[in-house]
Amino acid sequence: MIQLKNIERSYKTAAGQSWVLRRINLEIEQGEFITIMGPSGAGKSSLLNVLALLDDAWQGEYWFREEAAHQMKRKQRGELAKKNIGVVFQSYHLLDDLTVRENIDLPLSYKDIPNKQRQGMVADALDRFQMVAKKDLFPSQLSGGQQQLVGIARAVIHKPSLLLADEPTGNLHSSQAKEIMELFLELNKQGTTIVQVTHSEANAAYGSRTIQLRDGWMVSDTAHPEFVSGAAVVNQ
Amino acid sequence: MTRLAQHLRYALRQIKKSLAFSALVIGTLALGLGATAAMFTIVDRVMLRPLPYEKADQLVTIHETGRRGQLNGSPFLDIQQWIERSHTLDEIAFYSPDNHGAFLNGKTASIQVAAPGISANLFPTLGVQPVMGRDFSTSANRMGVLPDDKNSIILSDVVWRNIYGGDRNILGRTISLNGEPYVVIGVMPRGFTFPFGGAKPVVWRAAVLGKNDAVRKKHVSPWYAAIGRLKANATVASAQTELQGIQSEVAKLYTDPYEREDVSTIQVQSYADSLLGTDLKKLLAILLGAAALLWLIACVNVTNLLLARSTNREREVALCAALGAGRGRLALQFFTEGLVLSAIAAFFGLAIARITVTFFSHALVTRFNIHTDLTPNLSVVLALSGLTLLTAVISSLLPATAAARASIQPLLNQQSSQAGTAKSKHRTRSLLVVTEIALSLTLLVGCSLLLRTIYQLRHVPLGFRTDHVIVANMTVPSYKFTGRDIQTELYQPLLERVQHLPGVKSAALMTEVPLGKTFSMVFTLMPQGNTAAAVRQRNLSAQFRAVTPEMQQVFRFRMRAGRFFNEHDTAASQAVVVVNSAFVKAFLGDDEDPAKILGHQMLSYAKDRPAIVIGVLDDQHQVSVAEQSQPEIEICIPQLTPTSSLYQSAEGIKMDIAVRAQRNPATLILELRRVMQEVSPELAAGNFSTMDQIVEDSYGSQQFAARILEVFAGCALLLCIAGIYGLLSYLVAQRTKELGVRIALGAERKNIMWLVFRQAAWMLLAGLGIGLTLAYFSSVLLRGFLFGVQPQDPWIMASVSILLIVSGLAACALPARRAAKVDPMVALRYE
Ligand SMILES: Nc1ncnc2c1ncn2[C@@H]1O[C@H](COP(=O)(O)OP(=O)(O)OP(=O)(O)O)[C@@H](O)[C@H]1O
Ligand SMILES: [Mg+2]
Repeated sequence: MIQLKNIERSYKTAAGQSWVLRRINLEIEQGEFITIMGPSGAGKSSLLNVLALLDDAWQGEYWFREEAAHQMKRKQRGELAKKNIGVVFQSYHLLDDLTVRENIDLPLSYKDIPNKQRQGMVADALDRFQMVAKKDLFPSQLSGGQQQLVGIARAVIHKPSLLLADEPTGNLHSSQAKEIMELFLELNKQGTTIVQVTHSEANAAYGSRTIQLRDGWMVSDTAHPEFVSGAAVVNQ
Repeated sequence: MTRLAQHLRYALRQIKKSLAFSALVIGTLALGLGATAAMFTIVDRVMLRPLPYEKADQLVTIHETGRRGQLNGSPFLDIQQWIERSHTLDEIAFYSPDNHGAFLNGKTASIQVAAPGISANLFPTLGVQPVMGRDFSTSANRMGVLPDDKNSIILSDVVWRNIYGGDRNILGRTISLNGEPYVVIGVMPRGFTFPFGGAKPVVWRAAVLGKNDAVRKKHVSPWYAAIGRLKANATVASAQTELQGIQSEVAKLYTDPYEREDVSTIQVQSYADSLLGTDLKKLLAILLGAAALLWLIACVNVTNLLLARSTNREREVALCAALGAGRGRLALQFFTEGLVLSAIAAFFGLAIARITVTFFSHALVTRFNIHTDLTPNLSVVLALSGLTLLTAVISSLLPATAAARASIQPLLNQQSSQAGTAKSKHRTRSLLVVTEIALSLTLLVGCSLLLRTIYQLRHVPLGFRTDHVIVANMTVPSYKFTGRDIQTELYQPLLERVQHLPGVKSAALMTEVPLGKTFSMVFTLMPQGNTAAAVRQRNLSAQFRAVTPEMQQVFRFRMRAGRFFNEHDTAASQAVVVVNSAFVKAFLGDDEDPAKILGHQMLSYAKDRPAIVIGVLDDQHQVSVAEQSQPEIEICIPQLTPTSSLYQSAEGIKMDIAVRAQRNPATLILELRRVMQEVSPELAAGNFSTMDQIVEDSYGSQQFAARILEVFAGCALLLCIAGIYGLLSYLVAQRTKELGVRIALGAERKNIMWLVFRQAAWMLLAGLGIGLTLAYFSSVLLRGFLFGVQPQDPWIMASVSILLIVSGLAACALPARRAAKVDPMVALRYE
């Protein structure tokens, strides 16, 4: 489904060029549930931003299905992301001024979908995430877990084939985290490809494949146990 | 004390820290304060101009008022009661104001003068006495004039000099006023006039009391205007109180109950106040209101700016509060900052006021005859300080309360977002911007209405050309030419030399150029009988002008019928006059062919020299652009000789020279002045102007008001744009995270920009709605000053709205672009 070839990402800092992602080669198959792990500052969020097509400033090749995202203009990437990708954030990033219903509706409002169909989709999502009773509440009136449920509902409302989640349970209790993970598993079973970033082994256990990042290098991949990156060799 | 110093020091540090912000605040306030101070200066000068009387501030007018409002005057008996009973007034004098003017007769033509009849104590009350001769002699009751002086007259300096050539033997001479003989008994000092501000030259007759003055009866007893002098320790208010008490006794003396109701109360007013026309007062009030509006807009803007900053400084404030600073102290801190900013702004505002007033000084001179220095005086500075303090209070009120009210806990706790307070603050700020838009719209509508008025006035076809014409007003030194023909000795040589100046196409003399304000003579007819034509002609009052034939080449007007004067009209040829269409209408009736008047005998140049009408001018706006053409009759200067009865008044008082020239007015004026000086030194003191300027000046108050409102409305628009821009920039900055989320969720550039524009559109629409309502009602105040446009002109309302919308949207273009450029990665990184 997605093929990353030699993805590189760096920032210009006062000290010069600082590398965040190094020669990332990664193939994501349709229907996988991938967990990205690694120490703080390893570049997990950076990789996710590349995958989400939010970042524009990387080098390398990014193939989404047969399409070459690396050759696209910003607008086209936006279109591609809008159609295929949903994102769940660690701190939910719900809009305070909008109700639960309106928050969920937000991605649809940026697509050309007839109003009728939009309402139907929102109603379905509310139903599916058991939020019907809360649809007119504001985010500040919800618990953390509930807020993240809304965040997920918002991320999948337009039925993306790829769901990206950056520490989706980082701010939650373990019981709430478990609930979220069950939900991810469920979505995955229904065919959504999922890439999540987490620090928790328990969460990682829900996934089908785990990738380790260190200092921007990919150092291991459970799908390819034989894989050892050059950097790992150097470091060890 | 030390605490205050500490506050001050802290405030100064804050100002230095955010220099750009402070500059914006100071600039905004300076604009508002400057405009207000300028208006204060102008109002101060117009309302409180110095009068040529001793201790003029002690002079008051006294009017009886009642059921039908203020009466024009009072019978002598009432005035006598006041003076006998009053302890607040030193003296009360009276006069019968001469509203229609009188004619100081020459042999065939007359000069219009004002000839009020005055009580014997008027001049002493005003603190003046004749420089030559004597005052009227006082009768036993100390106010009336002895009957011996019934036919005595006192001349003003202007009349004595200009009409009688400053004749030192004038005393005892008999002159004719409205056909009656009067003996000149005195001449008043130079510069003295009364009543103040009249345009006509003045002579004074005596108010000799008669038997009708011994009764109080409407239409029987003559009425007089009363002017009194306050005792040194009295005030207008105390005199008012006292006279009101007296008046209730006086009213009882009226036997007729209806007449009694008309005089039940009294109004004492300072004489200076009473001089301002209600029109002018209204105009000044409107302009002062406009200035206040601009100041309010500036305050709103500043409040908004300070509010924005207080939001940014919330954490700092919270910290101070947590460290034990009381809320009152925090509020005081904000207040001190506002005060310091306003003080600096006041300084710049004063400079702006200075410049503004200089900019308007020409208008002040031509409109209000104000020649005094226009530096803001002490009262203006005081008023400005008051305003500054008010500004500080108002513009720090909101931020101060916001700071004092801010709850401390959530602010220190970085995690929790304070959506609630932030949102209510946005609302306050949006409301402030909406207010600003509404107020600006009101100013803009007022300004546009006046500009439209000026435009309409400018496009009134005048009937003559004004371009490339230069005018010099001359006061004629006729005393130098006694016994000589001023025509051949002064005018002909002058005209010839001017016509030969380089670039001059033609030059003409006339007693007054069209639309001039220097000198006016009126021609009236006295037909006998009671036929309709006789009645009509008795009502005819025509502008009278003596002109040279070249006037047509200078002003390039057209004739309706017949011809204009030409070089063949000389002292030896048939005497001729020219009239205009309005004159024909008034003379012959509405539906007559103008050509019919040609050949008619009208007026005589001398006893045996009757003139005939040889031409009819097309109507011109020769008196006022806004008014219809007035009847006019013109005589030909070359046909006048010293033996002519019109000679003195037509040639010997005032003369304008109008020059058509294809060259730079400034250098031409220099040469003109030189030539005039060479011909007769006194002429060089003349006033020079272009005809276009004279036309502009004739627009009057509208022009002046439009200019001021132009400045005000321009500032308001600027402030408005700044306000919208400021708020939206702030909102975009505040909403960076939200915008990032939206972009991450698929919002495109256009969606994001629309979000910002929508915010602006909402404020603009609300502002327009309120503003249009305000403008709809407030523009009615301007009604009396408009010409060719209605106060609620829909086109003006629409175009001003469009102007505001366009500028408003332009103001949000930059913030919108900034919003669209938000990088979601960066936005989401920051919590
Ligand atoms: N805008 C930026 N400018 C400079 N350096 C940046 C920027 N954003 C990220 N980095 C650097 O990139 C590196 C990787 O950051 P990233 O957020 O991807 O780490 P992470 O693996 O998600 O860490 P965490 O587990 O703490 O979230 C870090 O060293 C960070 O300092
Ligand atoms: Mg991260």
